[in-house]
Order: sequence, then C-alpha cells, then structure tokens
Amino acid sequence: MTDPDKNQTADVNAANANGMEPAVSESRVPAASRAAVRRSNRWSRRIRLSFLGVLKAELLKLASLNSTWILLGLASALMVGMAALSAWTTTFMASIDIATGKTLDHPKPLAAADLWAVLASSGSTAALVIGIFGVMAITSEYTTSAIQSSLTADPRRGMFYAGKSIAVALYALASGIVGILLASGTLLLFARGYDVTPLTGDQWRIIPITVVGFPLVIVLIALMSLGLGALTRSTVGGVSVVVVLLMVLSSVLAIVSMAVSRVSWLGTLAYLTPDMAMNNFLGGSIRSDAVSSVSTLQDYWIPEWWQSGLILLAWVAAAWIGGLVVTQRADVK
Amino acid sequence: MIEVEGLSKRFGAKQALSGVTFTAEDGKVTGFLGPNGAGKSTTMRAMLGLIAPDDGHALIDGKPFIGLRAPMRAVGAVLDAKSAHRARSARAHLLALAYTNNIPKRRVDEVIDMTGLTSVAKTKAGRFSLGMSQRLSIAAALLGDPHNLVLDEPINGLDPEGVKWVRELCRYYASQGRAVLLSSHLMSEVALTADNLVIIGQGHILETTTVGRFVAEHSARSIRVVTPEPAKLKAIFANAEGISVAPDQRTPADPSIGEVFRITGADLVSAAHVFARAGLVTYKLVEEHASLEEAYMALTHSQTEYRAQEVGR
Repeated sequence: MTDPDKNQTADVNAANANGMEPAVSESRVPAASRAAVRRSNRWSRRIRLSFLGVLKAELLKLASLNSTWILLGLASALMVGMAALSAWTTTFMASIDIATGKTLDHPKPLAAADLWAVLASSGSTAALVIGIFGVMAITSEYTTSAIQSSLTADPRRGMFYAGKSIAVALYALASGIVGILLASGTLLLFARGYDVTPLTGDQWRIIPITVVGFPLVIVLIALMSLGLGALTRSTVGGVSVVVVLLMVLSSVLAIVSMAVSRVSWLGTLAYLTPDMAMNNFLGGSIRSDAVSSVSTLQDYWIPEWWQSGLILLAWVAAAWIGGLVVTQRADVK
Repeated sequence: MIEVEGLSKRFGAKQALSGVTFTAEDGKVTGFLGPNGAGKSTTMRAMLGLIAPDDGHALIDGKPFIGLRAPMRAVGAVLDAKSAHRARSARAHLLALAYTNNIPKRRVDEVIDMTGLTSVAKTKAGRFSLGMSQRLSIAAALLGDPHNLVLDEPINGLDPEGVKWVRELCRYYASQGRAVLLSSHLMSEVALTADNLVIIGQGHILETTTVGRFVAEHSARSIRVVTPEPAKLKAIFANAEGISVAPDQRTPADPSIGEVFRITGADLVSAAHVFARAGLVTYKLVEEHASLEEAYMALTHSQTEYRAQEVGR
C-alpha cells in the first residue's frame, strides 16, 4: 500500500472546504478514494477474518430480515397457544365428572406431572416453524446470490457454516426460552384455583427435561433444518424435507402399522422419526393422563425418553454434517 | 497481483475452462474480454474459491485466496450485480460483510457515500434498480480497501455517469499500484479503461496482449472513396496485386452523389497520387481504421457460443 502524499492530502482538504458532497461525480471520486486511502492506513492493518466477526455478521444478517422476527414470533406464539389449549383441556377435564359430564362442585386436583407434560409438549407445532426458519437461514443465501458476497468476504466455508449455525441456534434458543416462559405463565393462569398433586417417584425428571430439554430440542430442530437447507440449497426442497421428516413420515408409519397388524414393528420405526423422537424425549416416558397413552399399550419396542433424545441427536448430526460437507464442496455459480 | 495458472473446469459435458493462464499485474488495469459464456465469470469465481477447478490454481499476491487472513483487504470483487439478500437493507448488507473482516463501521458509511448510495442506505436491496444494485456490489468490493479489484461486467445497468465513474475508479486503483481485473464483453469499453488485454473464447485464452499492441495489430487500414467514375477507379487497380476495391455502404456523412468504394491494401499517399495522374474525380477520399470491435469480433467469431441468427434471415 502506498503512503498518501502531502499534495493529495491538500487537494482533498480543498475539495472538502468547497463543500463538495460525497456523490458520484467526475473529479471528486478519486479525491474521495484518496481520502479513503489516507484514512484506511490507520485501520486497514487491523482488518482480519475472525470467527467472532463472522458470528457477529451472521447475527446481524438474521436480525436485519423481517422474516426472522415473523417466524420466531410465530414459533413462540404457537408454543403459548398450544400450552393454552392443552391447559384448558386439562383443567376442563378436572372440573367435570367424566361419567356424567356434569360440572363438579369441587374440581379434582391436577397432577403436577400432567401440567409439566402440557408444557413439554407445547413445542411440537412450533418445531415446524423453527424448521422453516433454519432452512431459510441458509437457502436464502443461495436464492438471492448473497452467498457470493458472503463467501468472498469469508472464503473459509466451514467457518461460514459454523458461524451461521451458532447464530441460528442462538435465535432459536431465544425463541424457545421466550416461548416456554410465556407458556408457563399461561399455564399458571389456567391452573389457578386448582389443587395440584406433587410429582411422585421418577416423575421429577420431567422438570429438567422440560426446562433444559425443551429449548435444546428447539435448537436441535433449527440445526437439523439448517443442515437440510444446506444439503438441498433450495428453499422449496429444504422445507419439503423438513415437513416430511417432522410431520408426514411418522404419521404414515403409525397409520400403516395400525392398519397392518402383522407389521406392527413399523410402529417402532415411527418412533425413529425426528418428531416422534422429539415428543417421546420431551414426554420423559412418564405415564400421564394428559398425554395420549395409546402407544404405550402396543406390543412393539418403544424407546425410552433418553434413547429418543439420542435418536433425535443422530438425525441432527447427520443433517448438519451433510450440510457442512455440501457447503464445503459445492461450486457456487 | 493475480496469477492464474492452467485453470481447467468441466461442468457436466461442457468444458468451461481449459488451461486458462494469465496475470493481472499490479498498477495495471487488465481487461478480460470474451463473448457471453466464454468462461470469464467461471475464471473469476475459480480465483476466489467459489468454484473448485479440476486443474490449475490462482494466486492472489502469491497466495491462494482461501488461505488469506484478510480476504477483503486482498480482493474486492463484484461478481454479480445482485449480490445482496433482497429483504436486507443496503447498509445492513455492507455492515454484515464488514463485520466478518473486522472492518470498522465508519468505513461502511464511507463506501456508501463513495458509491452514491447515501439516500437509499436503509432501502431494501430487492427494491434497487440494476444500476443501484451494481453500485451496492461495488460498495461491498471497496469495503476492505482491497489491493486487487476483480470486477465482472461492473458497468452493466449503470447510467453514463456511473460508467464513467467505474472507469475512473479502475484507473485510480491502478495508479495506486493495485491490480484491477475488469471483465467485459464489449471491446470498446475495455479499450477505454484497460492497459492489458486477455481475450478468452470457449474456455481458451485466445490472446494475451496490451491494448496498444492489439490496436496496432488488428486495426487494418482502408481507404474510402466516393467517385462518379466507378469504371475508371476499378481500371486503376485492375492489375495491382494485393489491393482490392469493393463497393461500400453509404453513410450519412458521405456525399449523396457518386458511388462509395472501400480500397484495402493501398497506401493513402500513393493512391492519391495515382488518382491525380489518372484524372479520377473524387468527392471524398479518406483513410479509415477498422474498429477495435470488428477486430475483436473477427478473433472471437468462431468461438462464440451463443450466436443469434443474422437479422432479416
């Protein structure tokens, strides 16, 4: 880099003194560039690609899109909505006599396990929205060709992918935490005035599963979707795969296994899908009246909650690593 | 300095690049010229690690781009007019790019001012015209005050003022001792700006030269004559070897009477003397250079990938 010379500096000052405003014009572009070079010598030595910088950039990129706030807001709202709906059902069931359908004078006490289960299962619909957020976080780079400027600024694609992953994870985490806090508040409002029976035996584990597991699951779903987006590099493709994995696959397997009783092991297969793994993990393998217990009567193998957690983790790892490999290898045209 | 050495790349059945080798020197504007689909963009993308070449490599100031500690200080690139997320504001786009390389915020405002985007800095990039998008891409390229500029058809969509500005920017960066690689499919544009020329066609480098040398070699001279005595003119050169006389199209600048001819292979001074001795009446006698565009067309014609039918056929 050349040092700025004194004469050029004088020119620039003269130009500035004449009140020439920065815009595209014939004589003052070189003047502006010259001034820029002069100033740049002070900061250009500090220019350096860093992971923190990349992470900061990815956080800003997501924050500067309206779609981020819409999707995350929708996800939190869905969590609250689902919690409200199940809370209402639970309290309604406690306040009527199931045999006669009449309202009881003194409602039955609510089981704490049921309330926690309501909270833990409130994220299953929101997961789909979080999934769309994760897919779009990376596919929008490709569909708008922003990927070119992103990778020219940061040609280390692993760093780019990791930075984006952490940014997406942080936003998803925030949405999950906001969602579950609001959902807890809603639940408390509904449960007010009811007696609550304490947790018994091994039911205590529903607390850490909900408090830690729930936001973690939201983050995992976001990362899995990001990986699927990176694998497909197309919004339509990525969202389709997410919908299939989170909605279609488990339903199809469950229906088929019910219809064809001989191949009931398909039911086990259904538990290997990401959404069933997610729900089973958050359910904590606790028998609860609020959560449908039809499945527990089946004769096929059903994974324990922690096994389901590992199954979900495997899905996430496979999708994320697949996305990493494609991001690193693919030509950007 | 950008050194490209033996780059080859195949996309499916199509050989996009075959052994592309050239150097964009420091202190020079290198024009990278070729018809659409010749491999200009592919070469530039391969330089910047966006496309992995099957063979060969590119070095930026002696190092591969991917390993650089400060990529934005080494290279500023305009690869596409549309290079920002449509729903993101221009300033947020530039700021995010600046963050990656720890470029201070005030530099972002500086390049926004330099490229004349001040009034639309908060507008979403998707609402920009092609020209404004191009300015935004250029602003992004200038963020790191780079030592090398790689510009892929940077004047597409710009108004005449913007075109002039890009030209001056290229000249200015070169005068600072930096390397500027400027691609275009227009010879006239490159001839105005560039020092060196690299001409590519169907993935092969056809010629590596300087603008001056290209002009000297390829601009064949010819004489245009407007005369009322075509038979006499033809008789004069009937037996002259290497000289051809052909009817030419009349232009608005020509006299409206007489017939127009183009004589190639003859020297102006001797032709004038011969005409005087023979008593040939001429309304116009002028020496012309074939345009650079024609020379470039002649060079790349057989290499053009997407060729339209001639109009009227």
